[in-house]
Order: sequence, then C-alpha cells, then structure tokens
Amino acid sequence: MYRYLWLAILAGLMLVACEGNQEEVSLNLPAYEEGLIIECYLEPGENYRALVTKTLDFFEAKESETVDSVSISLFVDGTEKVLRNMPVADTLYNKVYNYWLPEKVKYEAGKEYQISVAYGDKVRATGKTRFLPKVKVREPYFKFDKEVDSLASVFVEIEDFPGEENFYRIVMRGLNPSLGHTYEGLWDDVNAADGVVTAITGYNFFEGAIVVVNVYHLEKSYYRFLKSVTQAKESNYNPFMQPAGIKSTLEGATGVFSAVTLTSDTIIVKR
Amino acid sequence: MVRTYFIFFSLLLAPILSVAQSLTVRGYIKDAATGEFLFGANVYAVPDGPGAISNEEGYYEMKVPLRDSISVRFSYIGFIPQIVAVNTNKDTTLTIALKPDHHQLREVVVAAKDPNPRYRSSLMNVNYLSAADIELSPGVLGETDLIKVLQLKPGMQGGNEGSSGFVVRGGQADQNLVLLDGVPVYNPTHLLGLFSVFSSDAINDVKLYKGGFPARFGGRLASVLDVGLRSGSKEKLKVKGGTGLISSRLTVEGPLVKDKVSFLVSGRRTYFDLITKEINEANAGKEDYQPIPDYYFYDLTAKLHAQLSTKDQLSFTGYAGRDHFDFDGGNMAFRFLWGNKVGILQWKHAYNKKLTHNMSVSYSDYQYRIRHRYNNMESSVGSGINDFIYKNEFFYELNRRHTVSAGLQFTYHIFDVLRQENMDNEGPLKLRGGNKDQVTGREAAAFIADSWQVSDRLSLEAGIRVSGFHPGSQSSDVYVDDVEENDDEKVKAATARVAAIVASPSENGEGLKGYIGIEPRFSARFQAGENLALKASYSRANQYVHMVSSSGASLPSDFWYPSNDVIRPQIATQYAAGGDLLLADGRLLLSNELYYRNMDNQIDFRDGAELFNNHNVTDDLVFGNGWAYGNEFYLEKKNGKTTGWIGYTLSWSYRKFEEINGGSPFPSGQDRRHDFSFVIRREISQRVSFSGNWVFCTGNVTTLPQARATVQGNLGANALIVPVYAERNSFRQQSYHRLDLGFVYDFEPRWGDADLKVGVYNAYNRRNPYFIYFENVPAPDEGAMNFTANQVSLFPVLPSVSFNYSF
Repeated sequence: MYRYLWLAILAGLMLVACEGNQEEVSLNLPAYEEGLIIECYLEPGENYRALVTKTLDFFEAKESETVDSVSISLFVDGTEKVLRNMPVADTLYNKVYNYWLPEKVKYEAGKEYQISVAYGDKVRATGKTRFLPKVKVREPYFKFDKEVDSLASVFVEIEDFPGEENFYRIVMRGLNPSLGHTYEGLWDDVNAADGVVTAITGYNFFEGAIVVVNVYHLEKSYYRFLKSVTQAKESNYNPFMQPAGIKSTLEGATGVFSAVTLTSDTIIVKR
Repeated sequence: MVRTYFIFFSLLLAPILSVAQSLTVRGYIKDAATGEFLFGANVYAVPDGPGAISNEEGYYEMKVPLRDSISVRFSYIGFIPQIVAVNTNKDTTLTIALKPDHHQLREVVVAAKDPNPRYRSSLMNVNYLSAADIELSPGVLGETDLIKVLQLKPGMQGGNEGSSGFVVRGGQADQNLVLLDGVPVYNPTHLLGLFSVFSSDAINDVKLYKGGFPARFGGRLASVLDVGLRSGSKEKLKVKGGTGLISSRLTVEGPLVKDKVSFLVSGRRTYFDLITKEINEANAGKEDYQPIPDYYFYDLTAKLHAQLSTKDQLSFTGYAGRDHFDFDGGNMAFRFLWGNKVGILQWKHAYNKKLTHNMSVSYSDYQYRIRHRYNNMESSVGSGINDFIYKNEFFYELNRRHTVSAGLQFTYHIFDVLRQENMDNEGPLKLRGGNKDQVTGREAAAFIADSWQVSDRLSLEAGIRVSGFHPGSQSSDVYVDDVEENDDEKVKAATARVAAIVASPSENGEGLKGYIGIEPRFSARFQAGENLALKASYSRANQYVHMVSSSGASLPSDFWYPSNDVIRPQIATQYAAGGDLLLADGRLLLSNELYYRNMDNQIDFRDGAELFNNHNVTDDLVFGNGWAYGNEFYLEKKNGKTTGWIGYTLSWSYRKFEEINGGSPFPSGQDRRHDFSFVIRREISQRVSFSGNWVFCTGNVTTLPQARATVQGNLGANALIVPVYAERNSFRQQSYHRLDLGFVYDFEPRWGDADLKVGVYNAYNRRNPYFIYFENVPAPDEGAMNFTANQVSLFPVLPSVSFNYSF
C-alpha cells in the first residue's frame, strides 16, 4: 500500500511539472562489470533445473542472455548432482532454463541442499537451502460485496509456526482471468495475530471463479531476495527512495537458490 | 627638583586632562516614518571623525575630541542624512529620527546597507540582507523571497528545486537552524523550496551564519538563518500589499498607542487552486482527462511590540502557515498537508547603559499529514515536532573594548515520530485502526562570549557553549474501531486479527543515554591595511535533533528524531579563513573565504530501507562521518545606478559509511563542485528599473542503475526486469542553470507608492534535471527491449505580473 503512496506523490509532482517537463535523454551510465544471475528453485514434482543469465547494459535490446559456460552442482545427502547445460522450456508456465536434470525433485521437510556454480575450475558462487515445513492452510472463505453482490473477497488463513521467524508468500490467481484479478503478497510474523496470518483480497473475484491459492513458506534469505527485487524495480520510478540492491541468497553471485515449500488449494467462489 | 615635581604632577594630571579633552556622544537612531530603530546607521563627527555604527538596538556611542564646534553627521542608506551640532561642554545624548529618501532607496540594493556590516564585522561566514535587498530581486511568480536571494550568494547552494530545505556549505537540510525573531521554524519553505515562509514585507533584516556562528546560537551544524521582523510603525497606520497571477499579500501595521505600542500583521495566500478547480470541473466528463492537482499555501505573520519605558521592550511574534496539496485520480487519491506554527514572547530590559537583558519563551510546531486512498483502502500517515523553549541572555559592555554576553537556553522537544491510520471503507474489512509513536527530549545550553577590540586593528569574538541533551519518554497509542456487525463470525474474527496487527505498538526501546557537548567558538578580524581586513574562525557545534529522510531530496514528509542510545549527536568542527578588500574607494567589495568542516556521527539510510510503515525505522539507519571544504569568492558593487554582485563557490562534500559503497567515501547529495551566480540591478530611469540573475551549478549526484537483470521467478511468478544499481551517488546529472529577469515600473502616485513588476523565472525554459527514470517503450523489433532514460524537470519558464502598493 505504501509503495503506491510514493507512486501517487510522484504522479502528483509530475503533473505539477507538466507533460512538457519530461524528456528523453542520453546517458553515459556508470561502467559495470558483467555479473551472473543464477536462479535455481527446487520445486517438488519438477525437474532439477536452473537458469543462468548475465546482467546486461541497461539499453541493450536483448531481454536477457543466457550463460552456458558454467557448471552447476547440487549436493544433497552426500551425493552430487551435476546439471546438464541444455535449453528447456516450460510452455505451461512460460519459463525457460538452460541447466537441467531428468530427475525430479522430491519434497522432504528439513532436507538441506547446497549449490556450487563454477566457471572453469574456479567456484564462482555457492549457496544452501532446505525444505521448510508445509504451511497449514485453513479452508478459505468469502465475503460478497453488498454493492456488487456478484463480486467476492477471498479470506485465506494460515497457521503460523510459533517460536521462530517465518515468512510467507501468498498468491491467489483465478484460472479464468475474466473472473478475477491476481492477488500476491509477502508476509512475515509481524502480520500474525493469535498464531494466524490472514490474507484478504479486495472484491476481486466474481462468483463462480475458480481460484488457485498458493502459499509458500519462505526462508528468510528468499523473502529478502523477493522484497529487494521489488524495491529495486520500484526505485526506478521513485526519486524519494534510496535505490536498493538485489539481496542475493548466494555467495559470490547474484541470484537465488531456494527450496520451494508450497501448499496449494483450489476453491470455487460461491455462496 | 621643582622641575621633577612639575613633570610628575603633569604626568598625574595627564589622564584627567586627556579625558576632559573629549566628550561622549551617544543615543539612538530611528526611522522617522515607522519609529523603528536603525541597525548599521553611520555616525561621523565631521570633518575628521571619529565615527561609529549603530547596533541592532539602534544605539551608538563614540568619543569625540573637544574642539570649538562639533557637528555630527547621521546617515543611513535610503534616508536623508542629518547634521546636528553638539554641545561642546559635556557628554551628549542625541536620539535622531531620519526621514526616508524614497528616490535613493531604489538606487542602492544588494547585500545589506553598505559593505560595512560584512567588512567591519569581526565575524566571517556571514551573509547580510536587508528588506530592500529582497524587494528588488526578480522574484518568482511575482513573489520576492529571501531564501531565493540568499541562494544567489556564495555558500548557500542554488538549484535545489524540489527540496523543501536548503544547503549551506555541503551540509544537509536539517543542519540549518532557521529562526524567526528567535524562534525555530522547522520547515521554512513552501512548494518544495520555491518560496520561503517569510513575508518579505514584514522582514527587517536577515543574517545567514554559514557555520562559525556566535556562541549564543547552537543546536545545528551548518548554519543559522536569523530572520528579524519589523516591529511595525508607531507613528501611523501603513498598508502594503501586492496582487499577482497566483497569489496576493497584504501587510498592515500601525500604532495601537502612538510612539509606544505597535502592531504588524502580514498575510499571503496563493489561489492557483481556484483556477485548477475550474479547469478540472470543466473537463470532468472527458475520457482520459488527468485532473490537475489542487495546491495552495498561506502564511500569516503577526507582531505586537510595546516600548514600555526607555528601558523595557515587550514583543510578541506569531506565525502560522500551511501547504495543501490535493490530487484525485479516481482509483488513486492523496492529500498532503504540512505547516508550521510558531510564537515567541520577548522581554528586553536595559538595566543601565552597559547591561541589557533579553528573556523569551517560545513555541514551535511543525506537522505534516498524508491521506492516501488506493481503490477502497484509505490510510493516513503523519509526523511532527513541538518545541517549548525558554531563553535568557545578558549583554554587558565591560568597557569600550569588551562586550561580554552570557546566557542559557532550555528546550523541551516532543517528537510525533509516526502517526498512522488505516481505513477500508469499501473493502471487505471496514476496519479503522492506527497508532501514534511519540518521543520526548530535553535540550539545554549555556554560553559565555566576549567581543574584544584588542587594538585598532585587531578584534576578536571568543566564546564557549556547553550543551546537553537527554532523551525522554517514549509512548505508543493504539486504537481500533469495531468491525461491521452483520459479518459472519469468521469474517469478524479475521477483521479483528488484521485490526490488531495494523494497530500494533512500536517496538523501539527507551533510550536513556544523555549527551553533553563543549562547543568553543572563535573568530578574529585583523585590519591589515586601510582597505583590507583579514579574518579567521574556528567553531565546534553539536546537534541533537535529526531529520530522517529516505532520499537525497528533503521533503515535507521527512520526520525529526532525537538522539538516543543508538543515534548519537552529530558534531561538526569548522575552520575558515579569508579576507575582505574594499576597492575603488569603497564602491567595490571583494571577499574570499576558505572553509573546511568535519562532521561526525552523520546519519543515512541503508540501501533499500523503508521509511513508511516501519515501526523500527531507526534499525535501518547507518552512521558515519563527512567532510566538506571549499572556497567562496564574492565581488559586489553597491552604489550607483548599476549594482550587483558575482559569487562563485568551488566546493566538495563527502560522506563515508561502512554499510554504503563498501565503506568507500562518496559524494554527498549536497556535493556541488561549481556554484556561480551573477546578479545585476540597473536603474534605467526614475521610474523604471531592471534586475536579472543568472545562476549556474554543477549537477546533483544521484544513484542510477548501471545494468539490468531479468529475474524469472519460480512457477506462478511473473518475470521481472530489475535495475542493478551502481554505487550510491556515482552519477552526476546535467548542470543546473537558470536566468531570471524582472522589470519594475514605478507609478509614483500621490497617495503612496505603487509599482508594476513584470518578471520571468527561468527565462529560457531550461529543463533542469530533478530525477531520471527508465522506461521500456515499444521497440521496432517485436520482442526486443527498448529502454529509454527520461529526465523529469520541475519548474519551466514561469512569467509573472504583480501590482504592488503601499500607503
């Protein structure tokens, strides 16, 4: 909510400044050293896979550029799994990867993994992650808008784990986009009351919408990565914010290595 | 032996005889039209001197060698000189009322009455302004402004549009103490720095101390802006005002009891919002119409002054002002309000000719509030600071060479650190909850100082200030309104949970650590030649209240926070040296000052810190140090039909924090390598005058991305293009430059004074950079990225017309 406040203030300033007070300029941006961006999510039921790209000049025409010259090893239970460098596309979710193994990831609460990314003989980046306990999601429920009684708000309650810091990402997406918007939010323990975190959408979904509710139990490092990515993106438009760097979960490179602990439910909005 | 005794007795009698060979002339000099005492008026025993200058109370005193006849000439810029014959038999008290010379007032302007205040003062680092200096500047949108004029002088940075504070010698906005008749004003500007809150029609004089300020000032590191208001005429009712394109102002002053009690009331309001409301209503039904934000501000200043007796003066000064910014874009709306309220009651008592006493109690309040609506969610955030101040100062003229001052000050601060309220009127929750975090602090200081005329050539100002601060209590208030009655139990329970979280109290601990600071102050002036004065100064200052800002720009929404266990007082040590040279028989003043300031315990935010909705905002602060140094050149012409000045500052300002840029020093947001100003005023004819300013500054530093990364995300997440930022403040924007022009036509009506001012701010419409952002625009090749850099500027060419009058 407060990020929109800054956008609102910015919009106001820009309106004061008038349309004519913006212009495209050519810049000599500070010189940069190319860096690796490594994303490796261990998603149960999916293959071991990773995407390795590199940072690009801001004005580069390419959207991204993969890096195929590193080697990626995953370590679990004393065994090493070396990912193969090959392009893989997930057409269902529009994702691409350039490192892959035919083996599927299995969920096991508490199991720890490590990653090592090497360039030639030199290790460039390392990281570790573990599967967290799955979140218990209570049965979602609805509240219909009195003004437009076909629109409903979805309430999702998750039970917090007591005695420790916890972080969550909650995504609610209608299968049919015409019947509702996507809701997404990051939460931590501060948002828990009576041991329960409650996420509430606005009146976003029409009656009859099929809503997939995904609740991710995040490691702190992954939570900070997600927040920093959002802040870095929004800093671009906000002169009143200090720019944020991406908080990597890896040592030696920018990126994320995270075991995805997901609890999913599908609900139909109905009275 | 007789000869010996004769010589002995002659020597004994010599001092007695020498005293008898001179007499003292003393008294007051005032404005015949208003009754106000004149500071800096010249007193000169014709034809060969000596001379004197009247002090801030209008008082002068000088010893004149006895002669057959003594005449004393009293003069002051803008007034008709008077020559008065003096009784040669005894000491004489003369109080003189000088009549204004309206024609002369327009000839001379720029930089105070004469070079004399700057040249003669043993203080360096000082800029002086009079009301006339401000009045004859081109102004902005028909309004002349003291901060805009000060920014044309070396030391105060120009080109800071979009920032509500001002910058002096590389210091931050919160390091400036702004005083209105002695009471602090926390946010001294309107409309993001375009106007100050001070009514030019009510100002008597302005002094800007750029560090190295006297021991009676404290609490800030970089500068003291001391604005003195006029007391109002004790002779007759006077009205002064002006009407322009977007604002009007009116000042009324006069006697309540003739020659004894006077009042002055000055008000100003913009009315741009009335115009935008009409435009918005006319276009309300149009598709894709973007409503123009409503904005207005007002100021109201009042002063009551009573000359109770020849020894006692009592005055009350009050000020209230507010900015109101309103934007409604349908789904998104916000309202931004901010403003100051100050008041001071002062009593000045002269025990005798040597000892005077000033005592005051004052109050200062600054508040801001932002109400925001996004879709159906409403929220409100605010912050503020209140000060209650007691001050006591004594000034004692020990002898002709020593004037000693001493005093103490006590301030009780109340900081409303964060007030927030959340409402969801249309959404599923319909809750309303909020909290308010408040912190207090007590600040005290005592000082003693001596102005010492060591010899005819050497004068010193030396003092010491001892200050202390103790943080007080911290409290949090929370509240939650009841949930909607008709909801089912599950929804009610959920609403109550969310409401409790929204209204959760702050987790900040209580800081009980107090601080004490010793602040020596020293300045010296040496008359090296007939027209050359050399100066040097050393000062140390502590600051216990800090403005927390998440950006390089100071905004009305920045909030003030006291020192505590975590936030230590800022400390600055400044060294300065320089000289003033009078050229061309005193018609030109050339000045050069070098300074170096070291600053400890500087405060900043770590990268990516969140300012709003952050109960533990101090956890995101980082601490380091800074330093600033530079050289200020100044050349001024004060007399004749053409007057003006050239100012140039070459300066550097750095900060160093372990958590930022890996601990490497980096240019601060106030770093501005070159700052140049050219100011000219020309009387074209008796009725027409012209003024122009041109300023040039090196561009501001900022932080821009050096690259970008694509973050794909896991299944179910959208891919994001994310900027990868370079080191903080590693990019310098384009230079800032601007030309302002103004013409004044004087009608010279019989009923008073009236003129028409036509001006233009930013005459060649320079698009000075405010900030830069990047946008991905559609590319010719499908699928290709096409990022462009866009620069936003704030204030384009702004013409103005105003009609001004006084009677």
